[in-house]
Amino acid sequence: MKLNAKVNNLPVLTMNSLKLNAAPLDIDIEFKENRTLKPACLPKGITVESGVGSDELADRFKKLGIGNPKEMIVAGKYPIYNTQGFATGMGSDIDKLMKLTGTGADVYTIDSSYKSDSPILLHYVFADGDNVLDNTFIHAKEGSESTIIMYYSCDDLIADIKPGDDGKLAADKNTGLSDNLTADINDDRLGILTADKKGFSGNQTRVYLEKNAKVHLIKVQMLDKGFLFFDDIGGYSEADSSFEVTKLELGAGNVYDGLNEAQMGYRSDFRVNYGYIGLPDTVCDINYNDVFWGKKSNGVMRFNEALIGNAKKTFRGTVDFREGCKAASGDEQEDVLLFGEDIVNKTIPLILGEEEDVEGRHAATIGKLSDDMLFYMQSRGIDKRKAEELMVEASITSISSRIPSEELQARITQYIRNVFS
Amino acid sequence: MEIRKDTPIDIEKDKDGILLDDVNRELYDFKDEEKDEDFYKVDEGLTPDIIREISEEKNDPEWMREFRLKSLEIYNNIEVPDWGPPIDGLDMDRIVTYVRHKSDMKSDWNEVPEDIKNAFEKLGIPQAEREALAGVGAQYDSELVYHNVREDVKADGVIYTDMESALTGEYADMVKEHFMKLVPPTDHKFAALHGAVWSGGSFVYVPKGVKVDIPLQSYFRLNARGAGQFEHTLIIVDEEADLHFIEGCSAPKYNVANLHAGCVELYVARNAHLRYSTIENWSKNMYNLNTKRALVEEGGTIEWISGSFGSHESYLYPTSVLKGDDSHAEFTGVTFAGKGQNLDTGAKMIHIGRRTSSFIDTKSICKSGGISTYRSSVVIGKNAEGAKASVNCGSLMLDSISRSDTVPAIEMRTDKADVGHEAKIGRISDEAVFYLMSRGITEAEARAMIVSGFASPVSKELPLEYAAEMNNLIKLEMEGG
Repeated sequence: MKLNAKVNNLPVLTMNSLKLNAAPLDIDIEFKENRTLKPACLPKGITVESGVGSDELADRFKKLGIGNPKEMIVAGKYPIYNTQGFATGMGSDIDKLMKLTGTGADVYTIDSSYKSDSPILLHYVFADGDNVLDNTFIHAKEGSESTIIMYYSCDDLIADIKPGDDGKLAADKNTGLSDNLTADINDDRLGILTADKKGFSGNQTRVYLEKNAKVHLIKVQMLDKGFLFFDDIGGYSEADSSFEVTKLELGAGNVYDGLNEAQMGYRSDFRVNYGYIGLPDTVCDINYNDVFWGKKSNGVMRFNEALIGNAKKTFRGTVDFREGCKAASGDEQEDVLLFGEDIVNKTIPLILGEEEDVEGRHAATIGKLSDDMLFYMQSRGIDKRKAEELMVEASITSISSRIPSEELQARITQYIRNVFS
Repeated sequence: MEIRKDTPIDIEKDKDGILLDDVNRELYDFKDEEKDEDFYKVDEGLTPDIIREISEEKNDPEWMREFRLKSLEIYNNIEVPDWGPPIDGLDMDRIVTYVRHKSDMKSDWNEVPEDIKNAFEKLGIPQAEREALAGVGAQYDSELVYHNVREDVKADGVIYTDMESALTGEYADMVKEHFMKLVPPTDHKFAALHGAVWSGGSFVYVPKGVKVDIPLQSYFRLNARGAGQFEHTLIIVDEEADLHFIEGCSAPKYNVANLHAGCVELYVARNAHLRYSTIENWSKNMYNLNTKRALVEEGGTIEWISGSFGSHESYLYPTSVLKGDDSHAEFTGVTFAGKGQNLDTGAKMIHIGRRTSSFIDTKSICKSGGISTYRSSVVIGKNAEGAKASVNCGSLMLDSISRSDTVPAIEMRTDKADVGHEAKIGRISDEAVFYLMSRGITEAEARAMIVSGFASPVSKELPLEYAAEMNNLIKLEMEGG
């Protein structure tokens, strides 16, 4: 099917010459039949329902009261998002894509009784030529606490892991599900860079957090360079909830990332930890919006990135304070390390304010490794290449350390070392 | 709570019970009724015939007449921007693009027509000239009515004249070589409009090595109802030279739209230094769609100081093109958007040369439903090795019926450069207000003091007289007194 989509729309338009108002996503792909994750078993308190169609999903959002009529008031400012009842970062064109392709959603419901630090792993394994769309809705009920890892790779190493002996979860070749990640972190197969496989992975994930719910959503993308990967996330948080997103974009050559978080509830908390390494000949387009509606809501977004060779990256990050979000606090920081004469790095960090009683801040540092740091390292016998590797490793592992899996952390570290080897 | 009662003000309360005062702008909003017989005007609207009429009226050289007509063609083919404040209220068919007093430009203040003289006297321009300026140009509607420069500055070879004289005089070739080369009519719709209907403005040339110690100033007053002002300022600061140029603007308020689409082109040669200061206080029915750009050669420096207080809507982003190695640009700006205002301001920095550096420091304040947007772009080109850029913007919201947005863009095409950016949005701290009130200062005054302090990075860069004017404007906005 063909679709000329416009995604990652900047919440307020700016000068067209900057080419930052949106990103084109032209699709001309025959998608595989919908894949449905069928975990062998899930821990008690979590259920999954597969193949929920777009209309049915939209009805469920309505019944849950998701969507805010005030959004329509500022329709001129948000020409794209206002058409979505449950906004996502990439925007309504991804909804259209899911609907046109008949991609049903996997709906995970996390009961109030479920409180666990152990991660649930959804492993998406891709073969050469796979063109797949995945749609997921996670409904975290009041007071629940969960950690969900969505891992995208072209190998099935994790699937080799034996199911946990407590029988909670079983791994599946296509849908490796395990909360018992105990692979040998010295396995030399980890983090191997391959570029021979090609494909398309399009994902939409929405997370609804009821009062006091806590969700840590971890997404690690380590596909081959020949993949186009898009990840469209929407969050909707009620009072006293806590939503954390940890994201590592490491492999695919063409990446589109969008997130829209609506902090609706009083004292809701939202965190983003984002790590990205742009390899030569790769392109990445990011659009993350944190929208504050609830009083005393708090949001912190951290982006640590490295661009190598002629990598091209566009970053849009928005802290958006809506009228009534009194005493809200929003903070956004982007740090980009550059290693290449032909890189193109575009950044547009926005603060939008229609509420007086808020504290908002954004900051960006973009540049090469400082001469002072390089001199310090070289004076201790560390050559330039190794110094660069160490700095990128420090930057990215400060993000990946949020992943409660030694194996995945080891893979990421090994990946960085391979990039610089 | 007390507020000053020495001048009439409208008082309203916001939902927190804080007194908000509509601004008293008597100082700037006085109107001088224009007698039709004293003024020459073209018809409303924009047609080739009107352009030809303006060109004939101004005795343009042939190339300028063609330039105007070509610009009109470009204007008709460019869309209105789909970003920024809406300008639906601006109907070009209702704008008079050329209005001039039938009197010629004078170099003796006593010869300026009485009505115009009164307007500038009220604004304190002649007094400022006597006390603090090396030269003054005063534009009333579409043409300059007064131009004068001190003899000692003239003796150094400094040229400061109106654009029309420059176009046909001794420096005609220099003008032709530079006119709308930095801001071509194809740049955007209102640059094309300017190219078609420009009138008035100043030409300045500072010869090599000459340092003008005291500022030059042009003051633009748009008095005619429903008219546009399209002055062109062209400044060339030659190698090793130094200049401070001040621009002031004001207009009375009418209930129909007025338009300002001026253009400023600044050429800063090798190791030269130019400071360009603006206190913009157009009336609140004004659409201010102004374009300012500087080209800086090796080792040169451009400094922009900008205070934006007036206008109904503004699009204003002074641009510095750092072409030469080791060139430098600074932009320091404050924007205050009150009731009925939508001010979209900021700066653009384009780094082309090696080891170029730029620094942006802005403060935005909004109140009583005003909308203030800081918008900028910093572009580091592929060959700008060793470039450094820093952007710092702060926003202060004084109530929750106003809006403040920050939209800064950064583009880097080399890894051999460093860019830092920081922006903050916040409110006046209750503790600071309480502290001042506990020392006998009223709440309104305390808030005004805090806002003045917030804007001090700009005011401290201005000559004392202008800093005082800016602080007075902030006070007017805050207190209405």
